[in-house]
Amino acid sequence: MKFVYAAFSLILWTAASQASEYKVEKQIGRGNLGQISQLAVSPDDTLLVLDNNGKVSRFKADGSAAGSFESGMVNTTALAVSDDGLIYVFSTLSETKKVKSGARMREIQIPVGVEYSVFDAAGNKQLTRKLDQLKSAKTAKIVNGSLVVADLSAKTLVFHDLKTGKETARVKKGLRLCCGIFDFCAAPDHTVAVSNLGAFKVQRFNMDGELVMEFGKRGRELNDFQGCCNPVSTAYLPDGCILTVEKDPTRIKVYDANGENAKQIDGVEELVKGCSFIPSATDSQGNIYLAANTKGYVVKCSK
Amino acid sequence: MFKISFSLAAGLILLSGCAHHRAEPRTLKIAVNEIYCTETACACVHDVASRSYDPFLNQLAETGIQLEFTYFIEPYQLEEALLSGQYDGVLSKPWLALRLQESAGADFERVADLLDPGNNGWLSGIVIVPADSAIQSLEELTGKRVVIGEAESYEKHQAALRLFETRKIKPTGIETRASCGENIGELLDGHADAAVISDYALSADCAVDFANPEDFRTLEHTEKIPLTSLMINRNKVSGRQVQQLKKSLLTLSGNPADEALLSKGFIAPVPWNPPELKETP
Repeated sequence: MKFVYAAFSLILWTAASQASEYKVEKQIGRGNLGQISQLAVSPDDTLLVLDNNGKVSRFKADGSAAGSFESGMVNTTALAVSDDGLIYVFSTLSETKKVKSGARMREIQIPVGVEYSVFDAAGNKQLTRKLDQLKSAKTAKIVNGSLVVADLSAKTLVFHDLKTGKETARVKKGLRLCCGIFDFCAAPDHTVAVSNLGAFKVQRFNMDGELVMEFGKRGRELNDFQGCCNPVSTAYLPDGCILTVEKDPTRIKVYDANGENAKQIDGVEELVKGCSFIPSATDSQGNIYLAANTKGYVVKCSK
Repeated sequence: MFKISFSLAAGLILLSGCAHHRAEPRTLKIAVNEIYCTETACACVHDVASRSYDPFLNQLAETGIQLEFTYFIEPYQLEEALLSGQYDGVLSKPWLALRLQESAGADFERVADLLDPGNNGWLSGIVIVPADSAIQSLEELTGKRVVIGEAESYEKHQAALRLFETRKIKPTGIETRASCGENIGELLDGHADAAVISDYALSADCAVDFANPEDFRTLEHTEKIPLTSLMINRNKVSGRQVQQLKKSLLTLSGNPADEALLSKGFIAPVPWNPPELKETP
């Protein structure tokens, strides 16, 4: 009898340890958003959603709309927000090139540069600048006075001085990127954490581009990552825990600060089909935002 | 006499009814995880993994064979599906299913093998080193660090271990990783001197996005095993239906097969009897 009770307790404990406290709360922006490129959260916890066509939409934490503005830019691929609430919108510039595909000629877009504009919270443009050393911008963050940009074309994470735009460091070695996905987030102690999906790892780098921490491998356990390449996105929560996002099948997990003891958030729908990016963001209250980027809405998870 | 005959006839009718109900489902449910299928391959290799089964399944249906495919991009989910007992068969690397058949209560028969876009039906592991490595032969791996696949990947685990044993190669350490990309990463990062990966990994796996074939040199191939097989659970499907399926698959294959299959399609299964099946089914 004791054995049965112990076994039952063990089962309950195991189940509890694997179930996150988070629950899926609501969908945000359905019907008002297009192809979502990126999410960001302002210092006042306003959710910012960047469409690929240049539109920036703002939502309060309760999911209600708080306005939007048109950046006037095209192919907008990355979004960052500074500590003082300025919004940085990045456009990947491209050229059309004709290539032979079998017996046919088809046109493809080749990334050739990055331009960004800075807006205040009302959408008034402050400045526009080109980052000549970059070919594309897939993700961008402002961390401790540095502008960090993920250049997928060069498969390189590039650190810049925010004021001058001058490059200060870069990370290329060890990045195993695939499927056109290259995401990272701001992490504690002035670091960034890259979703190194081809390596099935989350890797943290300091502002000098040095690796300071990593976790993850492919496998069947909850602490592991699955699929052909994962995670596609990562975000830090206010308590230092780490959110990871896996696509196809969609798995949203929260690890402790050491990248261990993962707990899965149950009830999150299949956000994307196939090998696609799922932008994510967190706010100061620990709310989690996940973009179903082709469906045109954001899923909010909260405790 | 009449009573005996009547009872016998009734019994036979009952038995045949039971057998029909147990062994001949109208539509065979097939779990699919296949390297070149668009539904199960990563988007980064969709230029080569563009296989679609729908037209071929429609052709099969015209011969009286109904197959219902359920696609699993994640092999671990395919395994769970097989263990659930909800499927009549599986289309995948054969080892994925054969290793599970005892725990799944299944008896998988390889009905046909599927050819890849190059009309190749074989799979092997390749032992690779960086192109500029000083290591020139397999024998030089004794005393070196080698990373291989995990136990569910026969070509880069069991076959690799057997290759080393046969050739009396004794690496200092053999570590395992669950993906070819990770094995290649260990090599690129200098954590291993050699890696064993699947022979398609540099052309039809996520590794194509971050590893150039020219950056590696192949020292050796592991033994050849079947690449992809359609396997039917004989505990659920009758021999008659299996034979009918096999006949239809082979009739619709060859030259030309439906172009969406990207190859000549299915062939009769090549013999393969992995010794591990007797030890660890």
